[in-house]
Amino acid sequence: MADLTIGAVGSGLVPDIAPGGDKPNISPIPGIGESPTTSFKDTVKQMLEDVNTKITTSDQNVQDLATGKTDDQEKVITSVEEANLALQYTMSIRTKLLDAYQEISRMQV
Amino acid sequence: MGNFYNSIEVSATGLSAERLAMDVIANNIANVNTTRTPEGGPFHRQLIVFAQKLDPGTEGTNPLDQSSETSSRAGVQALGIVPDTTPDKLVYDPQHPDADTNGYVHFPNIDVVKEMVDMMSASRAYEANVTAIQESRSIGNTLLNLLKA
Amino acid sequence: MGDISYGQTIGMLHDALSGASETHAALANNIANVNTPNFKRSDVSFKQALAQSVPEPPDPNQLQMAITNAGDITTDPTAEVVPFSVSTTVDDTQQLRLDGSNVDIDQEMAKLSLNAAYRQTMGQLLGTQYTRIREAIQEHV
Repeated sequence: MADLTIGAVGSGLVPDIAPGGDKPNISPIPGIGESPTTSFKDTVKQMLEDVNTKITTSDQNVQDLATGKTDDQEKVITSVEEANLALQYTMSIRTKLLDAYQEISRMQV
Repeated sequence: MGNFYNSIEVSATGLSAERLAMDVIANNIANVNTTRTPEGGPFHRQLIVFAQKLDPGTEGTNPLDQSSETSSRAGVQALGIVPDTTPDKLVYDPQHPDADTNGYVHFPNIDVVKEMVDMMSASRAYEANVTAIQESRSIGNTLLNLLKA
Repeated sequence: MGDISYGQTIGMLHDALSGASETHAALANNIANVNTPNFKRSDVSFKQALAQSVPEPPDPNQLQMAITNAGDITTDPTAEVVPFSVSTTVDDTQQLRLDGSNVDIDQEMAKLSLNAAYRQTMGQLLGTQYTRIREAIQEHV
């Protein structure tokens, strides 16, 4: 049976099937689970914390802009956009993972 | 957040008032040389009197009472058109059909240059009120856009 | 979702839009009365009240708040939360206008523009907040 290792999330979403031990050389997306041996749970947890931090930061920036504490609109808008993108990225990964899970669970063993 | 329609009415009072002012000024300019009027005597310069408009039903319906609650601001109103009581311009011209017994003709107390300046001021105020109305509508649009995807 | 509750920012943006709307009403009235003798303009202030309507964030250093107008906003960590309210005041200062009015049409137009930009930004940010929630609910983007 092939050694089924699911590579770090974000590094291509392709299971590294390594019968001979050779893993394909896929460069991981920076900041998300660089090492292929990071546990899946940790990676997901890291991603969620990252999104959470981004959203918290962007909310704080928005509040500061509203109260006039800062007038750096560029910072506020980029942080909002970053938070949105991080959330959307996480959502679409979640969707893909669910699809993968369902596909695997449909496989007849 | 609900009273942007109110702002439009406030700006509309400004538009009406300034337009009336422009009418009065234009009339002054048109009559700068009118030496004869049905009431007798030359045309007299007319002034328009503005006062702050306050919501009816608030304390002190005296429109000139500036100390009322600011939340009752409802824009501006023209209280009336009054004649300018400065003396007529006298020009010595005994040949003129409207000369008085001393040979002086009474011309209206109108200075065209001053009228033009007033006209520009009224026109600018009119434009400013138009801009304010556009912004009021924008506020409404902002709220409606929240409903869109 | 983290230390800043999701509803807090949305609530603050609603209040900000409220404040901007009141400011616009006062400015519209000032502009309508630009040629009224002895008129005194009014001002609206709400940003300080906005800052006081939410509790202080837990770690100021981490969140890198930039205080640009140090004289305007005072952040007192022990300050209690005060419900938001807008205050309209009559500006009593004398201006050099012969008819006794203290309205400067250029100032009013400038303030109108600034308020418009602020309101537009707050409106867009509020829309973004709602979109974010909607996307999370719909479970796909």
